Amino acid sequence: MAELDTCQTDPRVEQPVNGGNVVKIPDTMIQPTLTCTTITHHPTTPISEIDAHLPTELLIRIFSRLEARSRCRATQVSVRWNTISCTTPRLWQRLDLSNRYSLGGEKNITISSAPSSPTTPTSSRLSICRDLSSPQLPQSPTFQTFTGVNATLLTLLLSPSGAMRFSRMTRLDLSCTAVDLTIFELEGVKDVIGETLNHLILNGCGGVDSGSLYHLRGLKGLRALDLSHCEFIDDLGLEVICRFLPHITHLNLSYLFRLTERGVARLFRLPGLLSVNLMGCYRIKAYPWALGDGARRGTLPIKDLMLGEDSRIQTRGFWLLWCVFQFDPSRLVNLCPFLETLRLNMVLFDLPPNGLETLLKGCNRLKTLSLVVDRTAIASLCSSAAELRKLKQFEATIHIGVTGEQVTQLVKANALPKLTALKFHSKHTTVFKDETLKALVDAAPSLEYLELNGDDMSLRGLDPVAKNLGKTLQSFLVHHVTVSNEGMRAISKGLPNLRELTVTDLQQRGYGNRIGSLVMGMETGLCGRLRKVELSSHKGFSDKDLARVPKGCPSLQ
Amino acid sequence: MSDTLVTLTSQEGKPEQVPRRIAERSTLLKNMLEDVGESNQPIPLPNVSHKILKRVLEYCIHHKDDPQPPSDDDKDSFDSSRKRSDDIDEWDQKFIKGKEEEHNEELFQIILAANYLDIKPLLDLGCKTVANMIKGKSPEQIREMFNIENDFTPEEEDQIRRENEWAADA
Repeated sequence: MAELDTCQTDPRVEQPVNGGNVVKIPDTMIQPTLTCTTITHHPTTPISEIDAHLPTELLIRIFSRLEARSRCRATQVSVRWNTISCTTPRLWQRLDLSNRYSLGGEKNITISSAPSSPTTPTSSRLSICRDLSSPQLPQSPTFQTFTGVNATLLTLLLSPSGAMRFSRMTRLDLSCTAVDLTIFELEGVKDVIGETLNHLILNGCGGVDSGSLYHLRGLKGLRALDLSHCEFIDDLGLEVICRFLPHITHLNLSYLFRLTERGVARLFRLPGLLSVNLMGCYRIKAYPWALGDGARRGTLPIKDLMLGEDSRIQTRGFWLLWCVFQFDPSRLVNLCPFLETLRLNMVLFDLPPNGLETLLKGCNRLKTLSLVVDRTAIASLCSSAAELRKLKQFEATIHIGVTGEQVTQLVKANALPKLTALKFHSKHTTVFKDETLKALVDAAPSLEYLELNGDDMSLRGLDPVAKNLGKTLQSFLVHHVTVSNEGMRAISKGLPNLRELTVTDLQQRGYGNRIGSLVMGMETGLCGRLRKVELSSHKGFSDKDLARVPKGCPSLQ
Repeated sequence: MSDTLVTLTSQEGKPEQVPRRIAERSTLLKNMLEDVGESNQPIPLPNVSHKILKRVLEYCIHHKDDPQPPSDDDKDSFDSSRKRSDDIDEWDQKFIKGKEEEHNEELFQIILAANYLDIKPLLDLGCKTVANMIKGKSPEQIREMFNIENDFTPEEEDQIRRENEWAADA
């Protein structure tokens, strides 16, 4: 392939490369040596500066820095750009036809009805592969029945130039589209991407159901499959995956509410499964390790397991109220001893007293653990402090009822050095006084995500956060705090890596408009990485202040 | 030893003296100097004009204390979306902007020189700048910006447009 990349570029462009001089070579001097006979150039137009200077490899380098949409536009600029772009498959390893972002997947692109004959200059000029392979678009009735994203994909993959362009596609994103999986049965499609495609994303595709997964069996290279939010997938779909896609290693099954324990048990028999995301599959109440027949199971190679619910503070709550899982750590350890990531977000487990210890000692490769900390778990967290310190990341969600004293106990037991995220089940949970927070940030120097309610805190209570967590903190969410101007300024100055800042229900005392100080810090460019800011206050902010926010935050989305 | 001066000769034959430490921001020169050892011989750079050499050295001087960039292995994993930041440091932005009237010309020459001298961060900066110029523009606007002639036949253009429609505006 590397040879193809270099030899297929238009020879016209290779000559004028020169480090120093501005070489403007009139087109007449550089006749293409390609087999094409007619070139419709105006002979007087000089070659543009960019083409005169930059050789193919540098143009490829520039193209590789463009996101798909801009790259597609650049591909339409000139014959040279088109040839370079379309004959460099590594530029097109990822194809995003999803409707999630602005890239449109549902555009109707009709297959070119009269593909130009391979002998005309048209086809030979655009990319060489065109005159090697005649356009073999199957004009059969079945083919023409495809519409929308399916037609788009077929146009891209089955045109001779597309076959070259996408011959190294590894990742295909068809999220939120009306994809018809039968297109993966077509020989042409399998020829182009069957071996290389290893990551297929079908997030939110309403047309994908359990049976249709069968059509993916020809994708021999497929290893990761994202079926999250494909609401019609049920246990049968997992059966299909196990039987026909046995090489799958990464599965995202989040928010598939038809899945049950039975399907998961089946899934856990996939031989090579390394990562499975079952967040939001709320029909599953008991996992296989809680069922009675654990004895006859062997061990699984699973490294990443995610359960529970992933959500932000505003929407949390209902899950925990009625969903308590049965949990048997010793069975989980026997079944999945190689776990490296275990996320039990927003789920309350019925954890036996020594459960955490069993888990941490048994799954000794665990690097990332996230769980809900409720009142009863504090003691076992304290006694497992040594194990918790071996983790790389520990994320805790504080449940209602945990007190400031209990947090202090955790700090004293030295259980928190690896704490990377501290969240709260309810934003009304107040555990922090000034000194509690100070003790926490001292004890947890790698915090990246911190959420707190500032009800019981003083004007300068947040100062330790800016002072100690400047290097690490990326998300900071405070609720109901009262902060002085200096405190605000300290935050904006002291947290240069902050990407997300949420201040809800800011309390204002006296006349100072506190947010102004924060904004002032932002303006000086100190919050250059902030991508998301959320502010709310009972008294409101002045428009002037808010208008200044974007000025200081170049990365704001 | 890193304080010794190295003489670089530009295309025009004009010598330029720089501390060795600065010159070594260029991997090409670094390897050359290591091979040659102590030597007062000027190093000829026939591919770089004096003007561009000065500009490149200006960059090297400003970044003399930067850590060496890590090699760019683009490891594709299943969950990480490619992280590639578009933000350019303020000084760099000003630097690469240069003088308005000959901006493009000079920019391309800097990119070429950075490529030749193997100064990866500068090459990245140049490519990033060009990429940022292309971003969000229509093919016609790109042609206009760089003075590129549209050398497609109407049929070709139509076909190319169709092949790239999937990424057109929503």
